[in-house]
Amino acid sequence: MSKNQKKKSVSLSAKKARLGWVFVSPFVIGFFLFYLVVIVESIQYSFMEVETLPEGGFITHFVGWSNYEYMTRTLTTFMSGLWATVRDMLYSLPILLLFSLFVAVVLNQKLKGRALFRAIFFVPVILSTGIIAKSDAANNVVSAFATMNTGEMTTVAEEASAAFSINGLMYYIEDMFSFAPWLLEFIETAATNVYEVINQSGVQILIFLAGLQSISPSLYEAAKMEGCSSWESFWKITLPMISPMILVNIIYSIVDCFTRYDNNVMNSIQSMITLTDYGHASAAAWIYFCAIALLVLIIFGIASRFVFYQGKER
Amino acid sequence: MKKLKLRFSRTERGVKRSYAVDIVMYGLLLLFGIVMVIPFVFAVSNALKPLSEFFYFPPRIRVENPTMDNFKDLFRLMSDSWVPFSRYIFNTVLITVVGTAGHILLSSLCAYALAKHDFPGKNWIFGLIVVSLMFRGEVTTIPSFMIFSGLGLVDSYSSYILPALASTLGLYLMKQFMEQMVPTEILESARMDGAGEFYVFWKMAMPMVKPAWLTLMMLSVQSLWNLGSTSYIRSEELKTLNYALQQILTGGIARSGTAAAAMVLMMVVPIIIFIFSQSNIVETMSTSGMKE
Repeated sequence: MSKNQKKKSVSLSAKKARLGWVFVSPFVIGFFLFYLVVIVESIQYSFMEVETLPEGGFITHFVGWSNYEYMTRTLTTFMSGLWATVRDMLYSLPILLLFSLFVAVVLNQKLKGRALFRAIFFVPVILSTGIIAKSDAANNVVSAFATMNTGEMTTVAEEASAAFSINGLMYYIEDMFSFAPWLLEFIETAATNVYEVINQSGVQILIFLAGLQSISPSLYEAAKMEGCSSWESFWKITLPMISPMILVNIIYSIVDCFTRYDNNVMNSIQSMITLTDYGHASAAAWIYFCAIALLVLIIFGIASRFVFYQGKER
Repeated sequence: MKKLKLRFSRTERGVKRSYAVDIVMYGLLLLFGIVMVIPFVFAVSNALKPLSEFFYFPPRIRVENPTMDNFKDLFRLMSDSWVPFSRYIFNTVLITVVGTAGHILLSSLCAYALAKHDFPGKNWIFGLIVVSLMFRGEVTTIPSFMIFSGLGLVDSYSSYILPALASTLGLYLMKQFMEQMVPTEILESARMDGAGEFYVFWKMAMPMVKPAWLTLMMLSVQSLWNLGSTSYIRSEELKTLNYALQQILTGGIARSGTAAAAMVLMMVVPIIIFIFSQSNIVETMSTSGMKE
């Protein structure tokens, strides 16, 4: 980009810059109004005690770091819940990515009933939002589904996970191969979470699919002319070309995992808000936010070294 | 076996796929597919169950005496609401259509500029947007409400639509696609031929990332269609279908059947749109005419 710019006259680049701002501004204005201002104000609340008045409205007074201290020191369950959430996320992220990439690659082939399969893999996304997740009926369905394996119906994944979570089996494996405990724990958590992982992968599959569909077939044709096997072209073409989508999916998965309603940190923040404890809730949210941001930054830093952008190399 | 093997392209020629690969592929798809589709099948079968079968334990998927009573009940309940029920449907459809179209347009425009233009402040904006991805709106109830009321958006359709327009995940997704899938050369040559910048965006860049914005459309429809009550809306005339159905469902256990019917009703629309959008994805890049 910068090379191109130097070649052209200054006025043109100035014109391009102005156009860039014109294109960006509608979105950015909305973003500033509805997201950024609000986020900044919530920083302020995290340093304040918010009291709602019985006659309506609220008053605030500055309390410094005490909200944060309360969350980190006094309320021990909060920090331990935070760690548990982070650990669970780290365990399920690789499986989630591998699974959704695999399914997306398969669903991108020519097969009979492809549209149907794609729809099936998107169904959990539809099921997990809105009225379905909130209404009592959903609880009926979900709890019924959860109890199903005590009855005659047992889903394959649950059967598999049940087999893996048997403690005896675990110790047996540990004895046999003397695996590192963390590896065993990883495998165990992974196996127990298979069902949730599969159910959370709808959006990721969709994003990967869109990535695969946008890859130019001419690349594969050229590779085949040169005698490239399909296995090689997966590693040399597909993977680099969809690497930006892998990054999107990593970030989406982390954010999705951390902001789910069934996540216990979110639950505790939510309940603080219900009790109109906005000061503590904001502080908790900011601690949580910083933890996520740190994690995302680390993962982003590592992952973006491997991301390949088609346009960038020239 | 004339089928194509692990082809990663969509051209007609490819390595032949063997029976074994076929079996493994369908087998895995079926296995995972069954796991994913069971809750849906269960919801549909619940909607067809008479109340007498509803509470069998363990729950069963097969319905002995399928009935449409639940749907009839639902429509009866819908017909005697305070505000005409069609109003709720109209509201939700309006919000979904306007919100989705606007979101796709604005975020693609912004993503296009961020990916293919150079201007001061670009990286700064993008950084802010990525950071804000991680922050969910629950904790910002008070400041959000103050901003909405300050802008005079309380009790209007805009309070549903405007925040949806600036949803940041879609922007991030579009930016990655624009960066990766749209060759700068094509845009340059179009500009060379005298195409205006908006024309280049609309006629060159957008068709190339069609799978991306169809995905975006799906995500946006999905979230807007299920929008429930918010604290910004007071008038009954402006509330959504989801809200109305939830009010019907507050009847508790006696309304379980009706609730199942409502669930199916709410699910059907996104699924239809999804199937439609997926079957609408045609070869995009193959027609882009890139010669290197």
